Amino acid sequence: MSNDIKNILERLAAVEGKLTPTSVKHGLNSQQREVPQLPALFKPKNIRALGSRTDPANPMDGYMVGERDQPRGNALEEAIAEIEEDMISKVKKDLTKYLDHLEKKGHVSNELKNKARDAIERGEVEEDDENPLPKTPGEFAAGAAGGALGYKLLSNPIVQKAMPIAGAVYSGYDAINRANAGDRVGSAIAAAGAVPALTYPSLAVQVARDKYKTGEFFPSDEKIKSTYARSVMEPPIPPANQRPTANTKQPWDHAPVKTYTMEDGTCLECYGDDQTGFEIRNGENVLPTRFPNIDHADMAVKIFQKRREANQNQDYLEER
Amino acid sequence: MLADSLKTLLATNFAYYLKAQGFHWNVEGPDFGELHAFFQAIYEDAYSALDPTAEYIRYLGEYSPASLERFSELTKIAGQTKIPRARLMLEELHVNNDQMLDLLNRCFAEANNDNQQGIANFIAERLSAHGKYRWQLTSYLKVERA
Repeated sequence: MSNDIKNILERLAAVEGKLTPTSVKHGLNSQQREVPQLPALFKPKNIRALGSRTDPANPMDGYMVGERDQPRGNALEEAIAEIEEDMISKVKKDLTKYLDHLEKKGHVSNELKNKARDAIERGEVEEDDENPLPKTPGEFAAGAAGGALGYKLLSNPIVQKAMPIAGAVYSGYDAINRANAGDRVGSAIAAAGAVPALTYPSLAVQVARDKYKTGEFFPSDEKIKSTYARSVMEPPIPPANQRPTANTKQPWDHAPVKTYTMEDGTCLECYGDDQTGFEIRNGENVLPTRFPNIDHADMAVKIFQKRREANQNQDYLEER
Repeated sequence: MLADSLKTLLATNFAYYLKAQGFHWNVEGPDFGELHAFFQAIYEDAYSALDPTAEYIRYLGEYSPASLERFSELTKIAGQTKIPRARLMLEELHVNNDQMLDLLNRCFAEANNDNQQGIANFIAERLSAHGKYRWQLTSYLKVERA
């Protein structure tokens, strides 16, 4: 750039700087007069990568270009809404992660979750007309915990650990959301004792204790228990003196029902029977999912084999 | 002995060149064009180093290996008979490039010990080239920055 052009530009910049933003008085509408106008040759000052008070990412902050199309309040509301949305999504993500962790830790299948979801989708869950179910999350929690089921479960140290893991937590959380949305089906699931474990632990436990002491039980808890809580409670928790120890061997522990040899030589074994279901083991590792019959287990292994084969093929192809 | 190290370097460099060219031919996926060109740059550079390496072996009074059988005996880099997917190609070449750097460093030290400044200078250039590939391969493999 020649010196002449540079000189002209510098002079123009100086003139422009004098003209705007303070010198322009005419030809502006009321909104334009409200805010300092951005000069055509505006050059942000005091912008440094470090230690600058001006945000380097937004050097035009505070200046308005053209007319304002929205009141400032809307932008603020939008920003707040965006922050809220971020926070909610973070909470959701954390909760999902936590629940996944609990499920994995407890080796509990997603059976209840899926069952409850399916029941809700099919509309199979019915209300008890004589004993209408509560409508608010607090009532669900208190009612559920007030039942013998809730108290017994919560007072049992083993179940205290197992409860949140058993997939009931997720269902309970889901139930609250559904109840808030006016879905009464959700209340039935909440009443299964899932809610207090996570959402209202202190309230639920307290109410449960009070109600248990006075003998005042939630009227329909037996029905709910038989309908919904079965999955949570299975296998049933026997009295302390009858509980199986680590050394107790199930009959089907002795020999696998079926064995599968993988391509890499790994041997998967299927144990179980029709009463207790089937499980798949790889040496000492046990797949947390239990299968109701041998066909399902068989199918799971085949799908696993196919997927593994597909993955291997994706990584390396044969040239020949 | 420097000549023996150079023979190993020659065979290993040949294997590296061949692998890079194979990847250049067989790479697939959304980054095909970029990786195709990248592998080409690598194999052309590796190929250009073969002749000087062999000639330096002759310069030291030894004969240079010149058969696939002998190269497969001497090379430190295993061949790839399958076609990996693009990222695995990059990972494999990254590992092999590090092997080349180790070998070059060893040759460089031996050349200096033997007071073979010309050879040391050539190897230093190769070190620089492979150092650059290391940076580029590492950068390709940083998926978390994508």
